[in-house]
Amino acid sequence: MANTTRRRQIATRLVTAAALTIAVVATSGQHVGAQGRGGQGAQGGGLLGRVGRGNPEDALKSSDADKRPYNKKDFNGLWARNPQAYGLPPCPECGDPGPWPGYGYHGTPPPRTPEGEKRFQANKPGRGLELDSEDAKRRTDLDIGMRRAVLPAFGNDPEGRCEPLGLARLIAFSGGGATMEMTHSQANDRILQRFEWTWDNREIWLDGRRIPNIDDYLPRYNGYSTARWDGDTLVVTSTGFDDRQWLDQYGYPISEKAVLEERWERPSPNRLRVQMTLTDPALYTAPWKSSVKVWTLIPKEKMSVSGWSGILEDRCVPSDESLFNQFRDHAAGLKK
Amino acid sequence: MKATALLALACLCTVAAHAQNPPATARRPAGAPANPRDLSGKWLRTTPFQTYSNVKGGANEFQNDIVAGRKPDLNRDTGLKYSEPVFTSAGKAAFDHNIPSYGLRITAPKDGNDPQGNCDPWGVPRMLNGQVAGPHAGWSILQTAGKFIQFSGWHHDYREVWTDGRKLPSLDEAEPRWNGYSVGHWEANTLVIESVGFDDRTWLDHNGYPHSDQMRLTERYRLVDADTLELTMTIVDPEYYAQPFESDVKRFRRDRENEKAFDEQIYCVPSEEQRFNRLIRDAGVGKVEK
Amino acid sequence: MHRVGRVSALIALIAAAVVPVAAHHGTSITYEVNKTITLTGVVSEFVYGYPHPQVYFDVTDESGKVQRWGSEFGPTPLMMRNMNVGWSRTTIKPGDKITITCALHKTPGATACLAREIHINGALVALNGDQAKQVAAVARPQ
Repeated sequence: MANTTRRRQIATRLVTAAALTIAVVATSGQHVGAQGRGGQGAQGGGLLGRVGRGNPEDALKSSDADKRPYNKKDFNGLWARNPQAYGLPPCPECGDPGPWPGYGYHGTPPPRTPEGEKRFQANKPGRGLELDSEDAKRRTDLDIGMRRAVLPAFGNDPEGRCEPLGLARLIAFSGGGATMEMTHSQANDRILQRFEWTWDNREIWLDGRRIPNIDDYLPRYNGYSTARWDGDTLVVTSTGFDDRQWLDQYGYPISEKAVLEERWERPSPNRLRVQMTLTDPALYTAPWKSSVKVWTLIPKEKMSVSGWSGILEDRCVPSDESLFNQFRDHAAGLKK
Repeated sequence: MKATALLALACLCTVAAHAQNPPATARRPAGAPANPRDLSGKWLRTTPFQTYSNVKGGANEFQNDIVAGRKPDLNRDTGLKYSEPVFTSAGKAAFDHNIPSYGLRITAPKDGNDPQGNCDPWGVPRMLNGQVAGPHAGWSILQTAGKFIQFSGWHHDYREVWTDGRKLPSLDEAEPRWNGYSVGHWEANTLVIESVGFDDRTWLDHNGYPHSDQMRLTERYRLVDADTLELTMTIVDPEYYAQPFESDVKRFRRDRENEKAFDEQIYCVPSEEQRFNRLIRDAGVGKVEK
Repeated sequence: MHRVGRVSALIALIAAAVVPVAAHHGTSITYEVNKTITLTGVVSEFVYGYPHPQVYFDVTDESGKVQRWGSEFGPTPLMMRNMNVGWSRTTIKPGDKITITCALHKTPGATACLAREIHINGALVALNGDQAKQVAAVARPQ
């Protein structure tokens, strides 16, 4: 019955939260907090490059041995970055550079403007190396954004309150299991992208339209996206981002007038990759290229739960989350 | 001003019943659809009931009396035909437990328990009925080989209907989902969607009709003409309803003007909703809040 | 202006304003249908967002005591855009002088209401199509 199932779901997550909280307290340098269905998930990535300074070309080396002919401009399908979870051969280039802290925008963060720094400091992530831990002090090869995690109970990650994640973060993803689905419309006027964690969706318009004037519209979490083909590369341009979102789980900010460019390509039958460029002069003194994110095509039979294939309705629901957070906050010593 | 207000109130009752329908502008008849099996597009409800079925109070037809503090004459001729479901005792208890902000039992949201106030998902079928009669927040369909995705503007939600021939999952194995699990197939030019596996926290509609997690929902969609979509539904939920619960015949018109509009992304943002509830809906009282 | 014509226009205006409001969020049951208040104050915040736009403003009484009020609008931003009434996020700004007529919240002592008519720095800002016509009539050169 539903009640039993829900209690089981909540109980599982409470146990996970307890384990993670205790782990954080007992050890330093642990991966703080991992809310979301996938838990820690498969980080993948091996030892390619170093986080924050990963060599983008490494992600371009494809481990896909499939030589069948395919349509380079067809992105339809279910895509994930941890194929071994679905019984498929591993994809070393699918993980973010470095074994952890894990998924994020990555690349090399440019210096921030004073406003950018102010917003960056205001965001208190729960993921990454723990603030002031030995590991955090030692790993100066990592940007400070990834070395300042606090217990989620003391942080302010909007994800913990089930606020929308925002476009770049959905693409970069903040937990284990970055499954998403791409669907071309039959009229070929748009591509729909759906994200399993938070059950979100966004539209990429292919009809040549311009980005709207944000003052006429409203900045929204996924911004407004329009795209064109540059050869076999889909170049997506988006702007109008609700600035309450974080660029990724490490709490880098993004402003309303930022322009995010994504370059998508399907270099082999079972690989889809994207590199993003953020141009946000209000907050960053230079354009910022992300690391290359690579996905593997998952045949739908492989992505099945109880015979039902496709992305799961893995929502963040406030009434579920508030029960979870009560335990989390209590475990962290916050009196409620 | 007073005379105007009185006249306004007197006329609201008739205006309100029709206000859910867009004004009858001179529209050329739409003609047959180019492809009767292509339901893609953006749709706005034109039939009056915002409830799952044609229950009394489901078209806001008594609303103006109730909010003005007048006891409505529930037997007056509203021009609408009604039908009420037959509850089991468990169903009636669930119905009584739900305190909505619409319909005959309308209660101020702060005193109600509508899960939407907490940004919980509306679920299916509520997302098909709830807000679709305005110029915004219609729902739309993206149809491709193997699947049909239906988007609800309000709350930026969507549900997925698989038309790849798969079977519905067994409820013993599949965890309940807010939008359930749906499969569709064509019977002539009617798309028949069958769904199970619903989380029982959702309401069937704004008026708080309940459903259990054993609900089986069948929807039938067909294009009446190129610009008109018709939907009828049946619920089989023996835990709460002693007989199959039929919907009214709902019709939707194609929203050509907004067909290709950018998605407004009307997320229910918990912090935004909670702040609104605290400062406005639940009557923020006098405090100068920072 | 002919009174009769204005009455029917006002009926349409009130119906248009009230019914979409009644269509969601239980707004119609939350406020007094025909008990309005007119307040003057200074805007502290304008939220052009969801579930409905809200304007927050400080009202100072004769004794100098300041109360913060909040008023919501019936339509959502998209509805307002579709009604072509000329709103954007910057239509109201913190510091603007506001005179607002709004329907009172049913809870006694509540400082929340439902906007019926708004003047910003002395000028009417339209909440619906009919008020937009009034604004246009004023703007039209004589």
